[in-house]
Amino acid sequence: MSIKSIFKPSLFASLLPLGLLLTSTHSFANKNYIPEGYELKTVMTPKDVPFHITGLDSAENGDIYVVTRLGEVWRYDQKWHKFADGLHEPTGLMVDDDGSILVAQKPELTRLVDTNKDGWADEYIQIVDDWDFHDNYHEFTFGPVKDKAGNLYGTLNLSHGAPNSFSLGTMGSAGGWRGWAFEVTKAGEFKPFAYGLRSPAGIGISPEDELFFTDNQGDWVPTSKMHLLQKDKFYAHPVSLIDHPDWDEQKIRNAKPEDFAKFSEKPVVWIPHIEVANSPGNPEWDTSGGKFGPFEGQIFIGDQTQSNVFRVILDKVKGEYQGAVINFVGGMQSGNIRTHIDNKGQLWVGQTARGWGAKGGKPFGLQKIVWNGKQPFEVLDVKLVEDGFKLTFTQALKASSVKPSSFAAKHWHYDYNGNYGSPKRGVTQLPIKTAKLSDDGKTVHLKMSLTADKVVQIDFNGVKNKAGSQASTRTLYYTLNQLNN
Amino acid sequence: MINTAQLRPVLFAVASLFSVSAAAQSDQAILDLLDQPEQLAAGETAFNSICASCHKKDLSGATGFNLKDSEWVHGSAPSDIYKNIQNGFAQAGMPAFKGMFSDQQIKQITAYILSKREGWDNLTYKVFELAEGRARDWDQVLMQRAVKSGSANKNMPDFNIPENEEFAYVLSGDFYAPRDQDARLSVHAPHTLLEVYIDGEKVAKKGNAWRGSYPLKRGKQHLEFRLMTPPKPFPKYTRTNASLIVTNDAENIKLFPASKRAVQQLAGTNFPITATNSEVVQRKVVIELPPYSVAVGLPQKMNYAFNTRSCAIVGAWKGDLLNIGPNIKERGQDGSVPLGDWLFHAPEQIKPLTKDCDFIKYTRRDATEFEFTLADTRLSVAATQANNQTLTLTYKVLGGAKPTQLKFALPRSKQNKYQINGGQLVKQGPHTQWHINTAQNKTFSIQLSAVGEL
Repeated sequence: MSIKSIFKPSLFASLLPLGLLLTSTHSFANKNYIPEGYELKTVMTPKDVPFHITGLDSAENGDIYVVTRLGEVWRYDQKWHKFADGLHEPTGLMVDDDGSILVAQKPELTRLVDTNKDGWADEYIQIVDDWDFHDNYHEFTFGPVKDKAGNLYGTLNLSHGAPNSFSLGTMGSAGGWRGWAFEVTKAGEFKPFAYGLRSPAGIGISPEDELFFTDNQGDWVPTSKMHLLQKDKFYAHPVSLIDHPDWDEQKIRNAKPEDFAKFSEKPVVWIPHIEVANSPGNPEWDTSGGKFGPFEGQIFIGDQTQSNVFRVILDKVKGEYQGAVINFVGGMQSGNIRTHIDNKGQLWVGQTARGWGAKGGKPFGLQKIVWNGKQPFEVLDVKLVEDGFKLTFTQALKASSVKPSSFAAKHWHYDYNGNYGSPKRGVTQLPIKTAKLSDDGKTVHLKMSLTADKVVQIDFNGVKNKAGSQASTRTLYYTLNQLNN
Repeated sequence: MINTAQLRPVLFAVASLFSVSAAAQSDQAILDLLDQPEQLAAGETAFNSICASCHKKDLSGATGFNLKDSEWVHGSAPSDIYKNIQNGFAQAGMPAFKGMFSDQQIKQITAYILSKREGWDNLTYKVFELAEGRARDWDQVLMQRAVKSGSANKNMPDFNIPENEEFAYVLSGDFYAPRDQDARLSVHAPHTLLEVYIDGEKVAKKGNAWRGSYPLKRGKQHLEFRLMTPPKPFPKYTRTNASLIVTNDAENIKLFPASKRAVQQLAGTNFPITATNSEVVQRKVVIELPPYSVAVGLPQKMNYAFNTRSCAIVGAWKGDLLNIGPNIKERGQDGSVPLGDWLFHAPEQIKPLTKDCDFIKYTRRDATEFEFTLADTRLSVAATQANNQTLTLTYKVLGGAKPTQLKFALPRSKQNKYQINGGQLVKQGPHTQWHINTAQNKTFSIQLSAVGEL
């Protein structure tokens, strides 16, 4: 495999000498694509201000708050107002219920309060700083999100090249919960929550109060992925074990990949490198009640390298999540790292490309994707069934276009080891046995032979709606951890 | 028969002999000042009072040209610079200064400018082709005829000049390193074969195959830099377009670029944060300060940093707050640089002698105020300034279970003296501690004063 195809520029993923990373280009994702009925709008950012947005949320009144890598918090109500500054490269922001602003800085989780209501934060209150920050550039703090009980959660990036750090070759930890997720209880107590994280650049919480996080491709992460985040579980990167009471450096070094694999969680979705994402940001749920179109309940994630937004469609099989990823909007202006849907059903996308580069070319920015009410023609849902998949579309299909030759499928898996990313292994075409359309004309039942622990790519280039149109993206990637039988 | 075409330059040279010699004398008179610190100090004062407004205090140029690089549009000889200050360039907006400064002052300014000179001068290069598979031997290579050679454009090495994939590249010229501190030539050109000679002596590299550095002499020296590509196939991540950067001796501050690639690399690393009307606060990676430090700049040009892990004042400096550029460029791998002179910095600090520090918050109203507890005592600290040489840190007892004795270690520094208000100073060997009884002192303060010419 060539260097070009392994090493992609990606904000929280990569660690190699900069010049090497910026040489990568790939024609695949440079295409612009957007479903019918959606529009991409660019929001002007304050003049002459480096505005690399790495945290984004909205207040109850609809005002947008962003935090930038320069360390500033700004409020947007059709105009920009600076709210705070001087923070240490924050990579997360949340508007709390009382209107105060939580920011995840590298050394601290901080609450910003405007006590005299003059529009400027006058209190910078430490919530927690119980992890160790060693002044290393890669030691990002992501989050927070809050559950219904009022507990906060965040994730801590491993370091790269920090002095006196433990490393298995690439990312490292000089200790202090690097590569861990953490909880801050409602009472304000810091608790290490889960481990095995690498560059977990996005954390999100579902409407059902379940935590999810994304991690960036690299060592021990063969391709980017999204996991369900649960207490005391291990998410594959062994360096974080250095802070685990049951492990020490020698024990980690002596263990083999298969030893770690035994207790490592499987991701809910693998996110194929380049085709979908190299460095995904936070998962954001559409709970707009239809204001953002037909994809209610689905997850929207931006990618910093590919300058796109993709959807995650969850499927629950035998009580466990797995599911599919599919591209949604491509060709955006900069690196998409934060997504947020506001109370008007607008998907805001915070962007930065500094240090890692993005397809979009602009160094930073803010764009939003809005739905104009016109029904798009796209895949709405995918469900694993005993003998294949059921694909549901947003519109009824032209019956004559529903035949096995309109579809193609293949599967593969990835290596799990300390190498930087993995090529697809065992790529195998999967013949489509039958393609049967449902009575309402929207769902296709595809029969094919399936194997567990594979990513299944399904193309549907031949499928058309009644007007004869194709969907804007015609490939989905389903992570088949287990069969539905 | 005499060829008139040959004769003409000779005649011209004779005719201009007197003026050349006068210039040489005045050049020498200015160069002599370079070894006289008081003359340079006078030049610096004069420069900062007038010239810095257009050329910047660090001579890096703004409205006016950069005065420390190798580009001299109007002549680089000391007498050229002297004459240009005297007469100015009215059309370009630079007035004649001969009415404002005395002759001696202009000489001092010229000497000061020359003392700040940095980088290459009279730089030449030679490129040699390397036949595939040939042993990498400098003696053999240098016997060959160079396939390209000449003067380097703008005295800046460009490692993209060789057209062959396998090449040897020799740079030779004068090199100006800082006169006021030790510095190193830091080279990033993974897997290439490097040799460095200073004033004819080979210099040992510190580092590895990825990155290395060489100690420079202070001021002017002759520098020869040799780079040869490794045998093919090149190891992964080989980089032949070398980045040469002069750093401080500790290699944590990049001072200036010394190759074209480094110029691009360091562009945009100037992002000063200065307090003008009100205090400014920055949490960044800062050179010489530990992680978890919060830097505060006051408008009267004193600055300090509070550490949220130790509740210590981990540094104080006179000047502007920080250039955060290195910490916000690309991946932000370099620390921010304080824009002034230290009074002290960690490990010398105003440090509570308890590990039981619990930082609570800072507030940013008129003054920035840090709140924290030391054991059971809740305290705040904020700074005020009476003038541009002092900084007063005032601690207030906000609450506590019972009165207690607080102890702080105080910094040892030749650049700082202090005066306390409240509590006592207690000598502990070479160290001084500050003991405060909170029953008697609800507020107590320490005034820091910059000592001498910083």
